[in-house]
Amino acid sequence: MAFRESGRGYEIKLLVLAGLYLAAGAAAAYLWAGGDPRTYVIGVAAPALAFLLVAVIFQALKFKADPFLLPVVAVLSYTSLVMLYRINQFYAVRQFVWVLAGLAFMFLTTRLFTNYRRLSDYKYIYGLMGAVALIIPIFFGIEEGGAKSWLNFGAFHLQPSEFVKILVVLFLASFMSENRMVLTRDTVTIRGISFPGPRSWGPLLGMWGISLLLLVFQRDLGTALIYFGTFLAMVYVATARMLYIGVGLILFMGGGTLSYFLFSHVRQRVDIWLLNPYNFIELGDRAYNQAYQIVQSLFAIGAGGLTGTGLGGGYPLFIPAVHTDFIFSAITEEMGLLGGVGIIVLYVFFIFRGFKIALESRDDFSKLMAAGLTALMALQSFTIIAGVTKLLPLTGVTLPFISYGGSSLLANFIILGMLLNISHEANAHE
Amino acid sequence: MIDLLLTVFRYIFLLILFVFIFQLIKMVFRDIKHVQPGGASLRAGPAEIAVQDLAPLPGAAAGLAVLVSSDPGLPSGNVYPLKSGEELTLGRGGRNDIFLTGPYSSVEHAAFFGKDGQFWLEDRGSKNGTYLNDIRIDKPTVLADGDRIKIGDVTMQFVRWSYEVESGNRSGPYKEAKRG
Repeated sequence: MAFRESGRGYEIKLLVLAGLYLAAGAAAAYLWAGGDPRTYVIGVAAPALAFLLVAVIFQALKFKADPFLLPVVAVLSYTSLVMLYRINQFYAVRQFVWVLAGLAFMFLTTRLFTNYRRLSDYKYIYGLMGAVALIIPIFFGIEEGGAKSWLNFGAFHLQPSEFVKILVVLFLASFMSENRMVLTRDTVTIRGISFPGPRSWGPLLGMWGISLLLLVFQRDLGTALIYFGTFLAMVYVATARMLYIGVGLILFMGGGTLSYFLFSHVRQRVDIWLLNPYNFIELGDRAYNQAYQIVQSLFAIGAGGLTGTGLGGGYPLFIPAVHTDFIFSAITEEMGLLGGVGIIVLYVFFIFRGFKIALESRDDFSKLMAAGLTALMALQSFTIIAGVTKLLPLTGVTLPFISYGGSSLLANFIILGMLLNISHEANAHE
Repeated sequence: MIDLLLTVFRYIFLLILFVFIFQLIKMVFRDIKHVQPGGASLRAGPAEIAVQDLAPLPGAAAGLAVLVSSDPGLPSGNVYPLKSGEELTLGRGGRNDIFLTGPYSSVEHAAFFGKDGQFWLEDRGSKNGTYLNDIRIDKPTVLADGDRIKIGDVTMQFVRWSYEVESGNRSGPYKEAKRG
C-alpha cells in the first residue's frame, strides 16, 4: 500500500518541524538565560540530528513501524530540554545526555528485539527480576522526594521501579496470552453468575500482591497506582469482561480507603486535595511542603493565562521539584493554556497510536504488550498532570519524556522501542 | 532589540508546536483514509477453500464452514453442524458453542438456530456487527445455502444439506469440529 512507503517520509518531515521547534524554543531560552553560545548550537543540533539520523536509518532498513510516534516523542523531549535549560542549565545538560542515551536505547531495542515474541518464553524470569529490583532499594536504597526507591551509583541515581514497569507488562502479557482461554472461560458459577476459577488467578494475584506491598513499603504510591491500572487495562484487553474492571475498581477503592487510614503520608495528600491546601501551609514539615507545592503549582498555572508569560517570564522556581514532577506547571505557566493543552494533545496522540498498534497486531502477546505499555504511558501522564492541577491527589510520578530524570527517560524510550517493534511486526506481514 | 527578539522566539516556539500538531493530524487523516473499516479482513488470510462439494455431517441438516480465519482456535476448514431445534452461539464469552477470540468479537456475538425446518442467524447485540453477505443484520434472518457470514475477521459459509445421510462417507480435508 502506498501510504506505508510514505510513512517514513512523514516521520522525517515531522522531525524537521520538531527540530525547528527546538531551535525556536532554545533561542528564546538562550536569549533569556544566556550562557555559552556553543551550548545552544550543540544543544539544538545534536538532538535534532540524532532523531533525524534514527529516522533515516529506519528508512534505509525498511522499518515499517508507526511513523508518528517518534516525532511526538521528539517534541516532548525537546520541550523538556528547553524548559530545563530555562529552569536550571545543569539539569538541561544532564537531560541532554539522557535524551541521546534514551534514543540510542530505543534504537537498540528496535534492533535487538525485532523478534520480540521470544521474550514471552521467559516470563517467570521477569517476575523474579522485577521482584528483586523492587526489593533492593528497600535495603540499599536512598530516599528522594518521599519515596525510598532510588539506588545510588555515584554519578547518577537509578530508580529501578521505572524499569520494573516494563518487566511487569512483559510478565503480564506473556502470562495472559498463554492463559487467555482459561481466563475468559467461566469455571465457577455462583448464583448464575460465572467467575473464573482460582487456579488461573492464583499466580497472577500473588505476583500482584507482592509488588503492591513492596510499593507501599517504598511509599511510592503513584507507581503502585499505575501498576494496578495497567494490570486492569490488560485484563480487560485479554478478556473483554467488565466484571474484572468492576472487581478491580472495588479492590482499588478498598485499598485506597485502607491506606488513607493506615498511612499518614497518604492521608496528608488526600486531605490537601480535598480540603483547602492553604490551611496546610501553617502546619509544619511535610504537610507544609506538599501543600506549598500544590499552591505554587496552581498559582503558576493561573499566571500563565492563554499564551503564557513566555519562556523566562514566569516564576516556576517557586514550585519545589519543578524540574521533575511539576514540570507541567512550569510549561503551563510559560507557554500558557495553549502550550499545556498542546502537550496533552501530544500525549493523547501517543496513546491513540499505541492502542492502534495493539489493535493491528496479530497475536495475543503483541496485542497485550502494546496495550499494556500504552496503558502505562496513559496512566502515568494522566496521574501526574491530574496531580499538579489538583484534579486528583498528588502522587509523585514523572511526566513521561518531559520530567528531568534518566531512569524514567530511558524506560520510556525502551517502551517506545517496543511499541515500534510491535508496529513493525504487524505492518510487515500486511 | 533582544527583548523584541525574545518575544518573537517565544511566540514562534508556541506557534511551531501547533503547526506540528496540525501537520500530525493532517497526515494521520491521510493515513486513515487508506485504511478501510474491517481492515483485518483485507489482509491476506489463509486461502479460501471450496465448499461446493462439502460432504454432509451425520445427523446435521446444515453446516457452518469456516472459510477465512486468523483465529487459531477456529481454523479455516472447520465445519460445525447445525441441527434443527438447536442453537449454536458464537462469542468471546466462555459459554458460547463457538469461542471467538478476535478483537472485533463481543462476549455474546451472534447465534444460529434452526426453527420450522429453516435456519436463522441472529445478532446478539454485538458491538461490531454480524454481516450476512456483506450486509449488517439487525434482526433474525433466514439463511440460504451458500450464504456468507462475517464476524470480525472470521468468514463462514452456511451450507444446507437437503437430506440426511448415513455417517462414514465424508471425504476431503474437513474434520468434524467438536462443539463447545
